[in-house]
Amino acid sequence: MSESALLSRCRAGDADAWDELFDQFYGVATRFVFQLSSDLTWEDAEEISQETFLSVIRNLGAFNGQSAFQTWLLRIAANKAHDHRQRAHAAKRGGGERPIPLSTGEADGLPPVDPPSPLPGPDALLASAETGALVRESLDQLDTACREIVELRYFADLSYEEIAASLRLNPKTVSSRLSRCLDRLEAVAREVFRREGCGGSRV
Amino acid sequence: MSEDERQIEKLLRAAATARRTDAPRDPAMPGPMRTRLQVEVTRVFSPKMEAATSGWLAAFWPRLALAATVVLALAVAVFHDRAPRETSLAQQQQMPAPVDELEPSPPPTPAAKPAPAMTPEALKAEQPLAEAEALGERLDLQTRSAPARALAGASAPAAEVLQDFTLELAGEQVEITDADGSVYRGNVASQTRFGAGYSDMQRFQVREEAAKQVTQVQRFRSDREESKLNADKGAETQLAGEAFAFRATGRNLSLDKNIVIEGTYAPAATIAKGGKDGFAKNKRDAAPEEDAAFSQLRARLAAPSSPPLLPSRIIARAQITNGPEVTIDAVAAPDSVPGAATGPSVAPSAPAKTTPAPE
Repeated sequence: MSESALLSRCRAGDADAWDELFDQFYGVATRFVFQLSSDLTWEDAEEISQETFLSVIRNLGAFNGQSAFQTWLLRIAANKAHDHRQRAHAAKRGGGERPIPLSTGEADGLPPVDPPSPLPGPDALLASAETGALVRESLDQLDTACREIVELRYFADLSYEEIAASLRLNPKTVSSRLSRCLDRLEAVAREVFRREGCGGSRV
Repeated sequence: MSEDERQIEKLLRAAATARRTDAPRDPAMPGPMRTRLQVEVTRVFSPKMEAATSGWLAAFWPRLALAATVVLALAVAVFHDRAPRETSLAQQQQMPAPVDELEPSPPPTPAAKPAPAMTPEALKAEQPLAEAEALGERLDLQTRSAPARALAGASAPAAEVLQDFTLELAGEQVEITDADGSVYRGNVASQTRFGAGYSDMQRFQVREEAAKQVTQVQRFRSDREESKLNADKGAETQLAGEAFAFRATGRNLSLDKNIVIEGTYAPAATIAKGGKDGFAKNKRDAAPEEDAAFSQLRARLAAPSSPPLLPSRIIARAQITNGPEVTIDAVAAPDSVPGAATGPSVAPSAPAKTTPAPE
């Protein structure tokens, strides 16, 4: 079944079509979200992915088919991931970490609480992960347009044409805009790496 | 990845690759998430048609409400237009039919005054202008519709009922003798002759009916006066008697059926000088300052010297048991006993001609 036919069935409220859509794109979306930032756990990625699909369900009528559905989906996922990270950072700044109940729940026969560790995960302990976090931090300092086009190009592995279709831009415009955004990111990352003692020359 | 790729690009790809390898290869959507999403699908898409309908209603409800209000108002107006007619017809089971027209005919002898009834003065004091206007309209409707119904439903024998009859009034007793010898007896029904058995509402209705009768007579004369006064501008108009309502019942010998007659007697009238500007004008249309002139005119015209030009008239409905309703519109015959039809209290018997009910 073609993508347009599948989407038509989804627009008609066909539950089976939606299941098919979930099966086809859930992995792509969740993996894309997960690789956007090293401070996102897989559970975070799943939560963000769920929010992404909820948004797809509610806004499928707004999808005009000018770009591939996957491109549209990943744009939504990128925005949802950004919002998620913004909320998480705001909670940290306000000390708003999720309260953990003192009760272990064992009395209720429930498994003991396993709170998420605020420390970096094992992957983040790796150097590559550290580099990735700094890159992510640099990306977050870009404006939305630049961050989006960079994420689509290097995390979603979309071609210029796919990005152009998604952003309704000329492919050449995408190329020039991406070049300018990389210049900005480079400048920001150089500063971030130098501040973290990783050496700005790495960028 | 090309050779000339910038360092920042390499870092971006490395970061993505590192995270990509940490992610599950082929993740499947968890069951609870799928259920949650399907619930949302159901919520968003299942009531699609209903939502579309409600959206349409939401967009147009002010216009629909306005249209409904207009339709409702029209329905109420039509109902009110018909309701008085139906109510009046129902009331005529107890009340007289209205007098709506007086046909000119050879002048009968002036009649003596009957028992007290609704005089023009009394009516003038009791009936405000607006009320009279409203009553006049309702009366006009019922007098036009009733004959049509009667004629449509009347059989040939029924049409013979009260074609030629005499009216006799003795005190408050009314006796009508039909041409075939059938006798119908009853009573005069007016506001001054209602006993204790009538409710206040019935009294009010009687008064309203009486007011309508006089109003209609006067209005009609006023309307007809235009052509009459054009031909004879020196003529005068005045009522020579008092109208009253009556109700009589009896058995028609020809049909061998009981008949209930409810009607109104209108006395003979005369043409008087200055009527167009005085009494001929609906007295409720007159200004207060015209009262004196009105009274003087009325007194002058009530004099025996004023010859009546309009005959006495009876407008009634005869309801035949298990039969049609017949409308009677009778004027005093030229050869009737003088004063019988124009002054109920004078003659013991008064023949009257029944004319087909006007449309």
